[in-house]
Amino acid sequence: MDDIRLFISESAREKILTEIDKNNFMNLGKENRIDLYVFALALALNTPTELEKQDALVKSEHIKKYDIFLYSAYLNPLDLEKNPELIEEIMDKKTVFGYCDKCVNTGLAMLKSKMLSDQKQYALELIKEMDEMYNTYLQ
Amino acid sequence: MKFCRIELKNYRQFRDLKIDLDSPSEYDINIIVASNGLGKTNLLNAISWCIYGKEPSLEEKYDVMHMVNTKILEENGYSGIFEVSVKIKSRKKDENGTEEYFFERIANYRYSGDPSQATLISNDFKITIFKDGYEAKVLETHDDTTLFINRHFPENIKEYIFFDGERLNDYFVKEKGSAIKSAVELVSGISLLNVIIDRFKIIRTEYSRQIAKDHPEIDKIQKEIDKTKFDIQNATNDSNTYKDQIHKAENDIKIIKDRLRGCEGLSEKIDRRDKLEKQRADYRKRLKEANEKLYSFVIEYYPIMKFYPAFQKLNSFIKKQNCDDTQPLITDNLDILYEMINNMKCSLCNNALSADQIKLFEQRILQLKENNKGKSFQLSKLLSRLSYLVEEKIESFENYHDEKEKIFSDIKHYERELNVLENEINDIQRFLLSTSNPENIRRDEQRLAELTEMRDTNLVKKGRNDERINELNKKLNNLQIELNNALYTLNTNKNIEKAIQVTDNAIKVLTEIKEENTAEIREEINKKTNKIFKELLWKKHTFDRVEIDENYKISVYHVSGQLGLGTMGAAETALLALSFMIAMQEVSGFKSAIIMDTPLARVSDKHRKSFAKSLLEVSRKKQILLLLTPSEYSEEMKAVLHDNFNNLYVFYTENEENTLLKRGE
Repeated sequence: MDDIRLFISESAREKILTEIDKNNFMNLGKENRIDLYVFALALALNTPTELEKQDALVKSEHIKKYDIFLYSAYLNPLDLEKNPELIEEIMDKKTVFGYCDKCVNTGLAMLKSKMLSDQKQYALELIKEMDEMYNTYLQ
Repeated sequence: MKFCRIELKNYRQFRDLKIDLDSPSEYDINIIVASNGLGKTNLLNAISWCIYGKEPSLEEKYDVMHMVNTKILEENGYSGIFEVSVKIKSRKKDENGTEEYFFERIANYRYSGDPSQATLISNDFKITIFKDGYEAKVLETHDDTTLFINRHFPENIKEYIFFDGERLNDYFVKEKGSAIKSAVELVSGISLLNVIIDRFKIIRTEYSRQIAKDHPEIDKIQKEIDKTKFDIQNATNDSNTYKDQIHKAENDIKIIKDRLRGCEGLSEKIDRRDKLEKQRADYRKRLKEANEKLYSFVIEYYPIMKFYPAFQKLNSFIKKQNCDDTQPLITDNLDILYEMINNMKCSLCNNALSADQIKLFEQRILQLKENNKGKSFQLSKLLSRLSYLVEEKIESFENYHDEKEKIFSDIKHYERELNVLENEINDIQRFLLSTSNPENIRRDEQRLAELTEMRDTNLVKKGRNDERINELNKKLNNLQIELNNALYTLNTNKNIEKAIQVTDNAIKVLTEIKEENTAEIREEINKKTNKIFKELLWKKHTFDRVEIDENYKISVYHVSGQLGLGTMGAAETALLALSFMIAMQEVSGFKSAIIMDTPLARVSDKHRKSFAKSLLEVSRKKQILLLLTPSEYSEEMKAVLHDNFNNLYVFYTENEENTLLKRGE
């Protein structure tokens, strides 16, 4: 079995995760690392930034249930219509997850800026954004 | 009878105090001014202790052993025998000459070093009577002194001699009526008629018993009568106990209600606030949980929303691939096919697979592998799984609106409820903040509820008991008739029969005389109370009349015809008590001085002057001793009394333990 983990940067763990854990910000505390990872991935979908000093966040056994987000994030910028053979790339988990780690790195930085505001307020902002997306997709 | 001198020795804060009240003046009004705690009420207690052997205001508060002056106890190391005494010299002057009375009560307590352990060694009371300056008689036995005291200061109505302004409401409670009635009967001689009637009843019973000796059927009835009388006496005692308890509860209820005036319902408000605060805590918890649900919802749905186009894209790609491959990947899960062949049973229905079916599945696997056309088998498996997961997420997207509405609906509901609760709690808090010392008021309200329950329980018990007394009286009456009939039908001793008839007649006549006299005296007291009250009252056109019913319950009628006792101010109520007290004394024949402790406690400033004038008027005929606080002896009072009082004293203290006396100015 592959032992491929999900990583964040050491500085993100020190500066962001510590703060999240302190108040269980948006219910994203210690118990829910994979939720945090997927949420940060969604925040910064397809906007990767390089990680400095990797630090493991999620073990491989916790990934499978959520890997649809990871594969989708990786495949999203690819033009499968024109080049269907690119689908083969998802067999390289290390590349797929590595790409996602970089997006998460951006997402955590975005989350950090929101942690100063009231979490209820932040939740309502996200709801507003989701409503807009929902209405758009329905059309 | 007026007080000439009061001497207290080692009595509480009075180490050695002598108060002279015997100076001639047109107005026999004496004033003692003392701040609270210096012993006004204890002076009243000392007089009560001397005369009755009881300290009414202290019974429930202090242990009797503390009667001995603390300073002398400390000086002697709480060791030795200590004498406490109160002596009162009084004088009565009438057409028969002058009589002087010395009331002396001396008690001795032994202490053995322990301040909390005192033994009463002796408690002696005697009254020495001087007639025109010569010692005429010394009363020392309990019966003699009690009889004398009850003729001059009836204990039943001591509140009308030793007036307590703090307990003004007690003067007109219904239960006081029977005590007044018996005291009036005692001092006016009517009680003597009662004694004679009772003696006749005993004689009559004795005659019946004589006949019963020879006639067992009469003996049986007589025994039943005796038993019924015994039962009536017991039931009456019980009723009196209930009555006392009801009276006490009602007094305390009145005092507490007075204190609570303007703060009604505070206890309910505190209970309501506590209940609302519990509800608020519960709703806060629910709101917190609902908000947490909201956060979890956001964390779950935000990626679904954000990835939705990516999912759609992947989904359509996989579907397209499947179409090209002619066989849908999703229905042909290779893992499941392998699993079924290995287990030889269907994963869906759990039935065993036949050899033909297994063969069919093996062909299907080969067909699928062929269809993948170079695509790796692992990729095929992965795409198959992703296709399933994508479908699942797309389905979740469709639930977004309903899920969100449900959470928001809960949050709004809890916020609305919390808002309502907060408003009501704030209203109550504002009310409580405007009320001084709500905890004391709450305690008072709880005590009030207990007292009310106690009173109601006793009312029910008394009601049942009174019903029983009625039944027993009916039974007694029937037994008496049965006895009379039995005696009549028997041919008994004619002399005894005649004697019974005579005693029956005597009882009947005496009872009628007693009832007539009682009614006359009451009527007389009624008239005099009206006269005195109207003379003393400054608002002469407000009240029409005072009525005293056969149970000595006093009612006041307003000029409008309405009952007015409840609408009277404290000064008018005190004046009515004073008028009734004077009328009762004049009619029934006992004439004592009146001692008034803080009579103006509840009288407003504007009525003090009028009240002082009324007191001055009364003091022409009757000695008054006023015990006032400095605030009661206000400028209004001074303006009226200053040039007219007989004596003015001030209580003061130098060592904060003993109270001393000096003449005031």
